[in-house]
Amino acid sequence: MDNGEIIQLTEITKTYRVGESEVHALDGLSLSIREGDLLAIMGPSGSGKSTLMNILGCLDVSDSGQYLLRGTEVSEMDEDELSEIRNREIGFVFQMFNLLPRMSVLRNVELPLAYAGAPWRKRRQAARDALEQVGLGHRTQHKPTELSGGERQRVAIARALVNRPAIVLADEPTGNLDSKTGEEIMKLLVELNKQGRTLVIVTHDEYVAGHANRIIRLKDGRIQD
Amino acid sequence: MLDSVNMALSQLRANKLRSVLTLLGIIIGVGSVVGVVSMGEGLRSKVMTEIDKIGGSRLIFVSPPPVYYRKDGRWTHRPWVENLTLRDADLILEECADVASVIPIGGSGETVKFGRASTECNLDGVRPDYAEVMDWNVVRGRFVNDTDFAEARKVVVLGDQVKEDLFGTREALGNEVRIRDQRYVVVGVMEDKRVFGHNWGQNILIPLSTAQKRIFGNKYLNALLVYCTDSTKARSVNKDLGKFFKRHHEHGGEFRIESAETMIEKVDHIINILKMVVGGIAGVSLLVGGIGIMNIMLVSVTERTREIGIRKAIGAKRRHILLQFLTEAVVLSLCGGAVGILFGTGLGIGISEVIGHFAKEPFPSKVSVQAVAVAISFAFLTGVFFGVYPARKASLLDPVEALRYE
Ligand SMILES: Nc1ncnc2c1ncn2[C@@H]1O[C@H](COP(=O)(O)OP(=O)(O)O)[C@@H](O)[C@H]1O
Ligand SMILES: [Mg+2]
Repeated sequence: MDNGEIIQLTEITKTYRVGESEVHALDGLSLSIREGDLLAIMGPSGSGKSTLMNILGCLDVSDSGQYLLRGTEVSEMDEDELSEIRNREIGFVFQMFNLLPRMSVLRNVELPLAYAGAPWRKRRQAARDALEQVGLGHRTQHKPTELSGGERQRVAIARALVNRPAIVLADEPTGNLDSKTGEEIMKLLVELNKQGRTLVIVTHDEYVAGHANRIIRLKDGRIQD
Repeated sequence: MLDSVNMALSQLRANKLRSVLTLLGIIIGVGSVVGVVSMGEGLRSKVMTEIDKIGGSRLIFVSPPPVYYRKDGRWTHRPWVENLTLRDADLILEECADVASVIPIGGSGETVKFGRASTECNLDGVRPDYAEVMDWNVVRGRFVNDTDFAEARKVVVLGDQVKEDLFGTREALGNEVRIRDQRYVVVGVMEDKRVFGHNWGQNILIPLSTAQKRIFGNKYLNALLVYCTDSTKARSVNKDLGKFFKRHHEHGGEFRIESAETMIEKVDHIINILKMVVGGIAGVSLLVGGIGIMNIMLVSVTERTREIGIRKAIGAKRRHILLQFLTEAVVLSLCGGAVGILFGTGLGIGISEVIGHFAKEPFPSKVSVQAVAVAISFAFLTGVFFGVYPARKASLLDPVEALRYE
């Protein structure tokens, strides 16, 4: 394993069975990600991008193949171990924001720390810091529904950062935003990467592609070269 | 944990009507337990205080075998007659240990007149120790004394109500009243006393000897009140009395011997039957309430599938989700329990008011801490029992599937 390599995927397959037919969402995919990378994943709809992200994010496990995260084999883990990995090592940013609507922004951002069992005071401080970092330090007590789409996505980014994860995964983070707001979000993500954060973004955005140090293009569950 | 409680409460607020309807079972279950137990406790304490007014648990009540008895579903006259006499009273004092005093009770309904005024009353023949033992004293004049009894004098002590009826505010002492056209001199007036809602003011008291000679025409008594030296002796005296009557009377086993304790036992028996009936109602209600809670929680899990997905994505383990939904179910059920306690307390007070109204006497309702504790624990257990299935279902959701849920 190279120095600085945090993720190593080898011959990953994921097959969905829909009725009689099988869909090979991932078909023998291999990939490695190094610390500090900004990896852009591109490809047409249905090419397996989200499936790949779910596996990278330990939300799902592959049918076969090897996934080493910081040298640990993930494929063999049980659900609770995966939860712990997600909690400590992964930060998610979704297309749909996926905030909890009844909780304040601050509480949303605190939640990963609550599941990590962090003491209350530390949670609060870390959540404030993360919100500060995405430029929402003044909106802590609002409910997500009171915020614009761009602001919501910033909250989601703060939540992804709050646990200081090894890697942040963003699956079409601007898919539900207008282009101007989307651009701001992308700038924020690129900025975070420049500060040293490892980032994987599924996107069609050329700006991100321009800043990515690697781009992979998926088609039918394989990387095209 | 606190988060979960908050979430549960906001969930409740978000669906007020649905929550209330669902919790109805719990409310009724807990409410009926608290209500009836409170009422039962009230009834019990009422009986205790009333019994205390006539000597409390030291008292044993003896009456002769009833002339009629029930045989093959019909009231039948006994072929024999047994009577209580003063001899029994005196022999009991002699032969039975731990008996402090024996009060013979003999009485009949009479009309008593003074001038043009007349009133219905209950005439009791008494001995001089009656007032002290019954803790019922004269407010004016004096009570029947030894000479009155020994010489079978025609003197009378009036209950305050009778005095009021015949004399109003005028002086009664020294005047002659007529009973069955016999003349009796009023020597005293009794204080106000009520037991079990019965007003003793309608009683008049004359020497027992006079009553037997001039009114009853025989030596028979209606009953004996036997007072033990101590309430702890009541049980053994009760037994001794049983033996005593078998010894001295042919049909001694048929005499009715009842202690305050047996009265309290009867009340307890009634209360226990009530408790069982209500326990049944409560059980069914809690079951219905529990199913309601399971239902509302299943709906909640479905509605919040996406939320569960999000929570799992950011690191919630199965037990976190399980605990969250279980807490919600318990909070829900405890809210129902709390409302149920209020409802039950109100119910207890309401029923007691109604009883008090008909009994024309205050009738207390005691909210029993025990009943509240039991009801709350049952509400809690209902929440846990019926919350487990939905909570488990939530905790087992696959995160990817849950996140895709619309
Ligand atoms: N849960 C699922 N059940 C069945 N098929 C699925 C499921 N998830 C994804 N797929 C299929 O797998 C393929 C890859 O999907 P996805 O990874 O979501 O693609 P992308 O994100 O690139 O659009 C698609 O053909 C999709 O229909
Ligand atoms: Mg996708």
